[in-house]
Amino acid sequence: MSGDALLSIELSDVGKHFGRFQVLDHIHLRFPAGRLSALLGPSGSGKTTLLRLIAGLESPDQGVIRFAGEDVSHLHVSRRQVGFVFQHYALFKHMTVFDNVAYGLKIKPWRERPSKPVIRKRVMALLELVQLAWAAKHLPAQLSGGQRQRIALARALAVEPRVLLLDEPFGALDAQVRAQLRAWLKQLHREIAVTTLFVTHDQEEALEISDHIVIMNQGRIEQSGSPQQVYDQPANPFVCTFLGQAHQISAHLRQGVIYCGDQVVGTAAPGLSHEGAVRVYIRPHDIEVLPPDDTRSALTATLEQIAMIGPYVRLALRLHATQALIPADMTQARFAALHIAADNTVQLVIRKPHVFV
Amino acid sequence: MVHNARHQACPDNPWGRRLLIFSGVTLALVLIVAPLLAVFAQALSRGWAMYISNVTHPETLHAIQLTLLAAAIAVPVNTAFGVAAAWAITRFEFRGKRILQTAIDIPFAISPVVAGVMYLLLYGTSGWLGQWLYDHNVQLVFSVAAIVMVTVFVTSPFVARELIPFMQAQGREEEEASLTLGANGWQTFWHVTLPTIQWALIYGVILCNARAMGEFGAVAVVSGNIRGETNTLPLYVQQSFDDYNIAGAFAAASLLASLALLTLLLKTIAQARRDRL
Repeated sequence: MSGDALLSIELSDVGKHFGRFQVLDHIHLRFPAGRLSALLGPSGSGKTTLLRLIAGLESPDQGVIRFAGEDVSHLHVSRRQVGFVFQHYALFKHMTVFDNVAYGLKIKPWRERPSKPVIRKRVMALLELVQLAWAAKHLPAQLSGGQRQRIALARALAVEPRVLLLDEPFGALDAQVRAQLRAWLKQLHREIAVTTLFVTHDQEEALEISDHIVIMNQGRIEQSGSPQQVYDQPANPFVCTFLGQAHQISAHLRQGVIYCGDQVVGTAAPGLSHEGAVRVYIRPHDIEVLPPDDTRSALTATLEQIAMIGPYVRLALRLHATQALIPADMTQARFAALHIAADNTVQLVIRKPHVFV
Repeated sequence: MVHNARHQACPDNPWGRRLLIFSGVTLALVLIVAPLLAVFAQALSRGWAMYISNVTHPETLHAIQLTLLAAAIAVPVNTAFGVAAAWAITRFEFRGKRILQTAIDIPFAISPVVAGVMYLLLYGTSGWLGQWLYDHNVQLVFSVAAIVMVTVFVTSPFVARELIPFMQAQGREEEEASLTLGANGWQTFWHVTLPTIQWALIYGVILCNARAMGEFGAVAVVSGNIRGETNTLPLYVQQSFDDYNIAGAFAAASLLASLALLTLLLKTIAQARRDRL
C-alpha cells in the first residue's frame, strides 16, 4: 500500500500505570517489519493498553517507543500515522460509508490534500478492496457488524498508515463471520504488507493468522515468537496452558528421565539438568493410547470415561502412579481400532511432555 | 415468564384501568390544559383590538425586548459553558472534577429567589463588591446587567446537564478514531463531536432558553421593577396584575404561554431526533 520501506516497532522499558495499578511493567519488545503480529493474553493483561501506547492514544509513564528507530514516544497521535481499528468499529455514525473512508484525506491541510477526484478514486479503490463498493452511500447503521469492521479497516488504510493496529477487531462478531474475516485479514495483509499488530484473547485466532505472537499476562511479556515456537516450546506453564489445553501432572526428573511415581513418562529436553520435582504439562492430543497388551510404555492408566465430541473422542484417564485424571483426544477411527472399553487398563505414550521446574 | 410478569404489572381489570386513565386525564385537564386555555380566553376577553393594543403597549414591548435580550445573552453563554464543561467532564480526568460536577448543579438546587438575594448581597450598594463598584460609578443591581447576570446563573446547568450523560453514553472512540486519522482537536470537535451531540445540544439549548425567558424569582429580586426599564415579561405580568390591569396581564401572559408552546414543539422535535441516534 504505502511505498515506504517496511517499519518495525520497538518498545524499550515501557511502563504504564493507572492510579496504583501497574498495567504494563518494563516492557521490552520488537515487532518485526511487515509482519502480522498478535498480542495475545487474558483480559486485564495489558495488551490493549500496549496497543494504545503504540498508537499514541495513551502516553507511557516511562520508556521509549520507536518506529523504525525513530523515537515517537512524544509524537501526538494525529502525527503518528497509525491506522487504528476499534473493537466496536467507531465509525462516524452521521457520515456515509464513503465519507467515513474519505475523512482522513479530507481533513489534511490543503497543501497535502489530494484533489476531489483523487480522493474519490482512492476511496472507491479501498471500498473495492474490502468488497463494499456498493455500500458507498449507505450509513454505517445500515450495515452488519462484519461489514462495518471492513469499512473501519478501509478508513484506517485510506491515510496510508505506517503501521496498522487492530484492537480485538473481530471480538464483537459472531463465530462464523469471525472465521471469514480472519481468513480475509490474513489475505489482505499479504496484499498490503504493512506492519500490523492485532490484539486478541482468542488463542486460536492468534495461532491461525499471525506470523508472530506476543503472549502477555498481568502487564508482562510471557513469551514472544512464531506461532509454532510458542506452541511447541512454551516458555512457562502460563503459556503452555493459555495456548490450547494442557493438564498438569506432578513428576520428578532423574538424570534426564521423567518419572511419574515409579513409571517412566519420557525424557526431558537435553538442556534441562534439574534433578527432583517438576511439573509436567500434557496436551490431550499428545497422548498416544496403546492397548493393554502393548509393552512399549511403562505408563499405565485406567480408562474411566469415553465422550464423543464431534469428529474426535475424548478419554478420561486415571494415572495409576498418581491417581491424577487427564484427558486424551483421538480420532473416531483410532479409537475403534483400539478395541478398548471403560474400566480397561491402557498404556500411554506421551509424545511431547512439557517440563517446568 | 415475561408474559406473566407483564400481566401482573398491568392487571386485566377494566375498571381499574378506566379509573387510572380517567384520573390521569382529569388531572391533566384541570391542572394544565384549563389554566392554559384560561390565559388565552382572558387575554382575548375584550376582543382582538384590545389584545393588540395591550401587546403593542410600549411597556409590553419593552418587557418583550428585555426578555429577549436576557435570553439572547444567557443562552449563548451557557451553551458555550455547557459544551466546555461537558467536554471536560466526560473526556478528561482531572483534580476537582467532582467539585465541578457538583458546582454545575448548584443553580438547580438553590431557589431562584435565594440566587437573586445572593447577587443583591454581593453586588448591592451595601454588599461586599457593591461598595467598590459604587465607588467606581458602576451600578449593577436594579439594572439590565443584573437581570442578565442572574438569568445566566439560573439557566447555567441546562446545557451541561443534558450533554454530560449523552456524551458519557457515546464514549470517546469516534473522537479517538478521528485523531488517529490525522485530525487535530478542533477538526475532531467540529466534524465528529458536534454532529454527534447536535440534537442533545439543541434540546439543552431549548430548555435553557425556555427557562431564561420564563425566569421570575431571581430576576424579581435584582431588577427593582423599574417601569419601562427593568421589567421582563414575567415581571410585567405580575406588575400589571398588581395594577388591576387584568387584560394587560393576560395579554403579556399569553405571549409567554405562546413562547412556552413553541418551545414545547421544538423540544419534542429535538428529543425525537436525539433519541434516534
